[in-house]
Amino acid sequence: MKASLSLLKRSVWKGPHVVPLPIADAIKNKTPIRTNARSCTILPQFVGIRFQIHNGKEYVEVEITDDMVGSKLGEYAATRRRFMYKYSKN
Amino acid sequence: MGVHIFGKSIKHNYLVRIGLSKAIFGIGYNTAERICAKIGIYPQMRMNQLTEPQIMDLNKEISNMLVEGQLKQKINNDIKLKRDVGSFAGTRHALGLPVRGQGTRNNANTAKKLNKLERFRI
Amino acid sequence: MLRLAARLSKVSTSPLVIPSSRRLSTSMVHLYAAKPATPAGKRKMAFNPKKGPQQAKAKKGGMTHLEFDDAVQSLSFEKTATNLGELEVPSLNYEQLDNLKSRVVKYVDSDERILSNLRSFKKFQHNELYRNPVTLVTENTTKINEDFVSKLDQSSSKENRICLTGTRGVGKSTLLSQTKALALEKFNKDVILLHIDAAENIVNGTSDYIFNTKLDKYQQPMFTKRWIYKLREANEHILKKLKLSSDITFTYKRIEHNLKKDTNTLFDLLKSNHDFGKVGQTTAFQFFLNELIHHSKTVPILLSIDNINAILDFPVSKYKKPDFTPIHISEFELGDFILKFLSGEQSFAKGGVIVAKTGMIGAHQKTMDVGLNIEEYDPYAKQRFFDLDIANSLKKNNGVKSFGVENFTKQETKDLLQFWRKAGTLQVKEFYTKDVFVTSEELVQEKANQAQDQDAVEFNPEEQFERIVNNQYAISSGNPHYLLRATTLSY
Repeated sequence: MKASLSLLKRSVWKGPHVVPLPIADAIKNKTPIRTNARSCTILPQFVGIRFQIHNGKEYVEVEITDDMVGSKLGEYAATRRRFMYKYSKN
Repeated sequence: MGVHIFGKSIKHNYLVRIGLSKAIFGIGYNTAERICAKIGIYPQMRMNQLTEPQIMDLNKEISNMLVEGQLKQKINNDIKLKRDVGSFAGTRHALGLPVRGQGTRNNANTAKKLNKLERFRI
Repeated sequence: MLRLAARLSKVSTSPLVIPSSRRLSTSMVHLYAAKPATPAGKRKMAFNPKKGPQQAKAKKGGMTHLEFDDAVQSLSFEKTATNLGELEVPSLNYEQLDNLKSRVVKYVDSDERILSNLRSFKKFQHNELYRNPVTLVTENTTKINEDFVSKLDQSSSKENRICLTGTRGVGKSTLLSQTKALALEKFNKDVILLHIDAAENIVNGTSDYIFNTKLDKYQQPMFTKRWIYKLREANEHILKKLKLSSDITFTYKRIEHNLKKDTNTLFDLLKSNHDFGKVGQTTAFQFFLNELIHHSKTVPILLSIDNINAILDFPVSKYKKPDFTPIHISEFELGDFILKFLSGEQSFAKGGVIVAKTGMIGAHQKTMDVGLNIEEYDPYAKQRFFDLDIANSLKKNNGVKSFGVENFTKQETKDLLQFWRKAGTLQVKEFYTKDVFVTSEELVQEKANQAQDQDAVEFNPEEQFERIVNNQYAISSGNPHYLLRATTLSY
């Protein structure tokens, strides 16, 4: 009944936010793509490729699956650790 | 004194469009008005004025929609999928924390109450 | 055990304290207070097999669940109100209208019945003040008589279209009633009155609707049925005289009915044809309309609609099509009928169309103002304030004439107040207005002085009445609604 809410996120004329990435190389060589572009939208072409996504400190390796299409790369590399209380002696 | 629609008993003096949206999970005011318009129920009609064929039409219309248990199941599955994929939203659901960037220093009580991996128990 | 019985008897015989509550009030406080204050626990045990279980007390709530204005109407206070017999109120008479100028009149009994059948007497008009509805013959009455009623049998309804306009409470609906009564008097009841008392009921979603594929219009069986019933009750006298001009066959309760032309009357049609309220496609109303148009050569037909701006200023109804687009007023069978007769597209050979606005709604709507040439057409007007098609249709065939209902003149105000005074509605009392501030001690002193020499202060009721008239006329500027409110409800 209503246009999908995901369409309301971003103007249609802009298309998805895509960053130039060496996908062809990655498919050919089966090497992971190391990137800082967390805001890049995951396209169907990305499926099966491994990404190393920067989380601010290091690069988290993620393999893209079907279900991830449409979301952003950054969603799969958490930037924060859960707080854990560490007992210290002093 | 209730009228039974889609297995739910709705009070006899409710307006049809209000009663539907109150009783059935997945039907709000707008959807209820749309259903009424489709079947030809006038806006101020009350539950006890519904005729037998109209009730059947309503049931038929609603059974074609994603409501109640199926809708709840779908929501649960969607959350589960996000968790399985390992996305940020899934993690936040699992932790019972706000999903969309709200703060957690204070409050966040709604999220703590609702955000679970299994949101609806069926 | 004995002691217990004694206590119980004390409980049951102790007088229940029911505080006197305002009669119309239904507020929680009063209902709550009305409950008997007895200890709950003990009472349950008081079952005496000889007496049987204690009977539940009849509920003593308010008189009605309605709010004040509705309650006043539904409780029909007019039955216990002042009888007008002693006041010698004349009846509204067509021939002697000139003699009745600026006088309070009542309607002829039979006319009054017809008008109340048509729901002409509305709430907020405070007709419950007297046994019969009364009305003041004003300049407006004379003018509408010349402009409209006198032309009813001379011209077609195409040339005789009038819209009553004016501020809230100026008496548009009352003038509509007067028009109908004058028409009845003029033609000695040989006139067909088609009256819709609240046009908003066509569009506000309170009755069912069905699409008629033949007419390509939406029908409203419930509304049509009720309206036809009112028309039948009101126009019984004339409808029984008019014979059908063509045969009609319809079925009711699986029995086929045949009405023959020239033998059966229009009244028979309305009485026996239940198709008007049939939940299904029907052409009954169209047939009736054609009959009316046919008979309008001999009998004048007066189409009057109150609260017309509810449909013209707000033409987009609350009803929705199956694809959830709202239905326009012109897509309804009755709405289309009204628009066609209002624009002169269809017309009665003899008769007129008179419509009245209501001042309660649509202050910012432009459609009617533009249609009646009161305002200029603004091409940039927003769609929700303005409907060009309707405005243009009002302008068709020389346009609907706008009739501005005027406030009362000073003389009329005085005459009306004089009548209220005679009827006991208005009480002319002495009251003080002091320019200087006095303490209560001084006031007591003054009262004591007055008591000593009573001749000193003289109360002249005539003078006081004159003052009230001047006062009320200045405050209300002759608007009957405010006059009524100020003088009778709160004075």
